[in-house]
Amino acid sequence: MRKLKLQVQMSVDGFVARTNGELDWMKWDWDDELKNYVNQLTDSADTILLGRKMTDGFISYWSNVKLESEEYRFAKQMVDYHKIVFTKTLDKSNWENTTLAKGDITDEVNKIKKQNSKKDIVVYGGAGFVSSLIKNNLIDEYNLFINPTAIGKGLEIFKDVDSKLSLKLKKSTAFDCGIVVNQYQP
Amino acid sequence: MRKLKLQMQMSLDGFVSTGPNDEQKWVTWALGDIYQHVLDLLDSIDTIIIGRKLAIDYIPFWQDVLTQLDHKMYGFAQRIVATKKIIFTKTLDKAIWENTELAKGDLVEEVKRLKSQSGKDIIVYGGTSFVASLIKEGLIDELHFFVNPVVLGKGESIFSSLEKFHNLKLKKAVTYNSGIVLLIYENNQMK
Repeated sequence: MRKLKLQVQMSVDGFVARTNGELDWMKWDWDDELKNYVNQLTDSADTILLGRKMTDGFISYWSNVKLESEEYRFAKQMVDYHKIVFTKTLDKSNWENTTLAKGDITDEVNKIKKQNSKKDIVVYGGAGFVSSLIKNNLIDEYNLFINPTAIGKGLEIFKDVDSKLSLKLKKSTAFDCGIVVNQYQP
Repeated sequence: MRKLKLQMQMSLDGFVSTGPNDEQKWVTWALGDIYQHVLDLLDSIDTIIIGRKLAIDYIPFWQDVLTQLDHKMYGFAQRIVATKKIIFTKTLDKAIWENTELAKGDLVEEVKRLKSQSGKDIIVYGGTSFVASLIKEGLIDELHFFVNPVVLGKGESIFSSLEKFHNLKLKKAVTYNSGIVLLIYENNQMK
């Protein structure tokens, strides 16, 4: 069965965005080692799960990255990969390479995990959707990108966990730009 | 000027405590892993500052460990009891413990006065609200977090009183076999 991997930017104090979703606190000047880390993670997947709320922004952002941009390699993967939007309200998808999942989150994710592919599944957000995945124990690998910033308040992904949840640290890597990626498994 | 350093246990979702009656049962007590760093930090300081709420439990706790020669933290307890401790309080009138003094004035002035004295560095271990006040006032120069491989979901944060986001500088990260990650940050946004 293929794995569902979370990749998310996080502040030192555990937030994934400021209160209104702002990402202005994130470090963007990634060093080459960190870019390689992300490329490897992205190359290991062929499917992206998306919460409905962030889908429009996500798809339009990556579709508009130009060939000469440093982000183009990643952008092309985001555009080409099969995307599955989790929604209760939409009836059809108007985006390319995108289908809808409208059923129970656990059933839908397990169905996708059982699909025949050598590659894994990745999820980037948004905060509410990822919270639901965590609450339902659907994430198989957490890649938490700890930015060297404290933001005080904001959006969380672990707040729906009912009791203490222990994870296994698989590896931790510190990068020159100040980001530390902690990789955990259930 | 000497530095004020913070050392705290943290969950991977950024909390330092589950709430007022937290007994830190969520902490991975992998002493073999982290003890050396704890001792190295102690070697770099000669003063501990502490909030009154934590002090009334913390100081008697370590004094009590000193009565148990075979306690695995005996060596640490000896050091803590022997180190000068300054309790920040508005309500206590006198310090009833060994090697303790009170600081009753304005937090910023008292900490700045301590930093301007000659000597080794200063450390703070808690509690949550005292540390939150120090962070809000930009008084902490170096932060040492033992990030435990555990999610608490809800709890107390030392950064909750920040009005805007606050950039730190990653100085070092250390991975331990127990799954703890030590993150050391410098705070360059001094007031």
